[in-house]
Amino acid sequence: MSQTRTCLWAAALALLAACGSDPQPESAAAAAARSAPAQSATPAKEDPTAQMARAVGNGKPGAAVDIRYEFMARPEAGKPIELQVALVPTAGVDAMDVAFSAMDGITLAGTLSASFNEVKAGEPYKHSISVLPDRNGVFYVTAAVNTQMGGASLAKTFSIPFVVGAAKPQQKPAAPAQDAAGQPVEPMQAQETTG
Amino acid sequence: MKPSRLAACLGQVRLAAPLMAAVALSACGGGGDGGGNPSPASVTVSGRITFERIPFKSNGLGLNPAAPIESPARLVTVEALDAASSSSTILASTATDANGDYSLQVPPNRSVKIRAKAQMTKSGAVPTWNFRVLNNTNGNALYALDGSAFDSGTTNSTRNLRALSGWGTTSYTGTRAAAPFAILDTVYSARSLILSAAAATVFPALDLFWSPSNRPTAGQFCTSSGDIGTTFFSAGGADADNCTTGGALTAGIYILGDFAGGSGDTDEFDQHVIAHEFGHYVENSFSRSDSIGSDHGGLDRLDLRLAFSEGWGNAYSGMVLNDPLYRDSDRGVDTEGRFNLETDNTAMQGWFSEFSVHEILWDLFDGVADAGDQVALGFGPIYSVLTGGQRTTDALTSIFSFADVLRSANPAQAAGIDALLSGESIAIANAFGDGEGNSGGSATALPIYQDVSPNQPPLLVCGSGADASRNKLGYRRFLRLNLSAAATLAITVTGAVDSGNPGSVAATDPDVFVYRRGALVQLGQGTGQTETIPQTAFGAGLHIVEVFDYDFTAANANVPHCMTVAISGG
Repeated sequence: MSQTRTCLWAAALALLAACGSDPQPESAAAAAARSAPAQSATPAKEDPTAQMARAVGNGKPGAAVDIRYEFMARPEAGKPIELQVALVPTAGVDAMDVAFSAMDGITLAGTLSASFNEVKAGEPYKHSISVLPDRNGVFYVTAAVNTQMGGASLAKTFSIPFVVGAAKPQQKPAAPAQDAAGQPVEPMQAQETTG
Repeated sequence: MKPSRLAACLGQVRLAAPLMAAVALSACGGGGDGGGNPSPASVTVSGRITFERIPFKSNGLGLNPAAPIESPARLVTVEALDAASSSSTILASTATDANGDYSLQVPPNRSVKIRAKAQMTKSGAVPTWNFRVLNNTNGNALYALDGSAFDSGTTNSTRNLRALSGWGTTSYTGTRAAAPFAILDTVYSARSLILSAAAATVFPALDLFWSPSNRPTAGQFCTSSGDIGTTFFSAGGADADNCTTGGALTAGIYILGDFAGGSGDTDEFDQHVIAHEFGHYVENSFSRSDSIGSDHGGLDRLDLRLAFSEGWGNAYSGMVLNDPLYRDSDRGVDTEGRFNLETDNTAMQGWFSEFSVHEILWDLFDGVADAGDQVALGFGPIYSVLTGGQRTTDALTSIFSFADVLRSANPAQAAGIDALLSGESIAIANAFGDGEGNSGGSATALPIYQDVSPNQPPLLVCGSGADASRNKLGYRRFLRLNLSAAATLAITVTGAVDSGNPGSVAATDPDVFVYRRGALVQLGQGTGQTETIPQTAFGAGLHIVEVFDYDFTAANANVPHCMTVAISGG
């Protein structure tokens, strides 16, 4: 893989394994590493201590689809780059569609939605869009996938992260306010009526 | 009291004794601030705490933020704070009732503000609970809804607080104050269902983490920045991948909240989603789940433990809301995913399907008799199994172990229970599913368990999968090791080709786990073609030995990965 290319292939659904649920937990980062073409063919063994933290930890039901993605160049402010996305349905998915959107600071171009009918489990269904960041920072492209399977409709949304420019050291956020009992609180103003 | 008024009063009644004079002071209407009335010891501030619930549209197209429903914030903590003190001293505290109403006694003539916390707490006599909604991207701060400061005066007053949704015209434009209370309200319902079956329940503390920054980030996980992947429950524990620095993952339910300009996935108003995750909390707190977690989709063929846990979560959400239509909004508020627990989904049926499990559990619960469903047990018997025999089963937790206990506890309903199983292509079997013939298309899923004994010839087992997922049907294989007495044993797993299956390969990195009633008692997960648990003391009883090949990729997943299992010692 070229060093000038930023490859961020990820098996996003493995995120759930990061929830401490799996006796053999497979973290998102580890999953991404195992999916990355440039990674070693022999994955590292899991942390044996995590075995002892066995938890129920399962995510909500969602579309049976994985996402993999790749930016075809290093993201730079003011330069459009191609984002390739592959959706990989698993068993039972009859059809699926995806819609892309972006947050402030990036502009998407190209066909921002796609539909795939009569899909086959395990097959990657690819789509590309153009991403134009207007400044440095951390950004997310959202891919909202909806699947049809056996009369049920299930969705899954993916936020695809990327960094433009040098990553700034994270500033420690201000500590939240505390109440008289020392409990951190986040006050929200109510709409109030009196009588 | 002014001196002139005191003199006049004393002159009229001519009372000499100081005590009587004091009585006279009162009788003459003295005291107070000159208004003619004494200051009361306290005044009552009462009112109602509500939040705006954004409902689903009736047409299946997501949420309808333009028509919020004002809903009571039930059993939430309400405090009267001293608004004049820098530390906001708590003057009084209470909880709302089931209508959201509260009443507090506060000092008169004090600057006060009312605060409603996104917290339900009850201590002392059972039942007890403590549920909180915290912001994981803001130091785990507890959400609090504040009124304005006011003078408590000398008469009772009413202060009603409403948590607004924050919705503008086409998107959220204000503080999303309703979200934490909507989440807590679903918890209220989920709690109520448990109490209907076990009135003296002591609920372990549960935190629910919601933030408008909680997003389904692909490829990175960091709860403090909102990169939570999806809505999920975790019992907590060490997690080296939680943020780049690693750290513990705090137990609780993490809930998506990023609207992302209308394309995000927010779950605070998705009651089935929250109740589903609460169902996992119930499993973890009062029952037992051997689920291995990780990715699961509607029609996946899952490891039997995961299938039951997720099917339970789905069914429980319907039971909590008494609504079999599971709805999960997405793309902001514009669309939704949905499935109906009452609908017989025939595309994927079996003991490995979470859809089959939730259809069975729902039919056991509901009172609607439909094709193949002549059972209406309600929640109590189901919960009784979960907190009883399902906790102590020697088998891995699955639809088989559940049905086995349920059948025994409800013999009059056995035929109906079995009909539900048959309707989902699940064998009528014991807790282990012995005799099950539905392989789900997997070449290595059956038999579900094989028996293994010490000092016998090595047993050959193989695992495979449709893809590289490690939580799907047929990848992990299960052996029963029944020890009549405590023993010191060594377990050796060695990669070996199945000579009867020319398409098989020898496992190159077998791993082994040993469980006793769901608890992990030993494991071996080194590298290399041979895995060994050295001589180890095992207690008497039935143990489950789980083996699989860790070297399992998309390229080789569908090929049987085989290994021999040998147990020696005594």
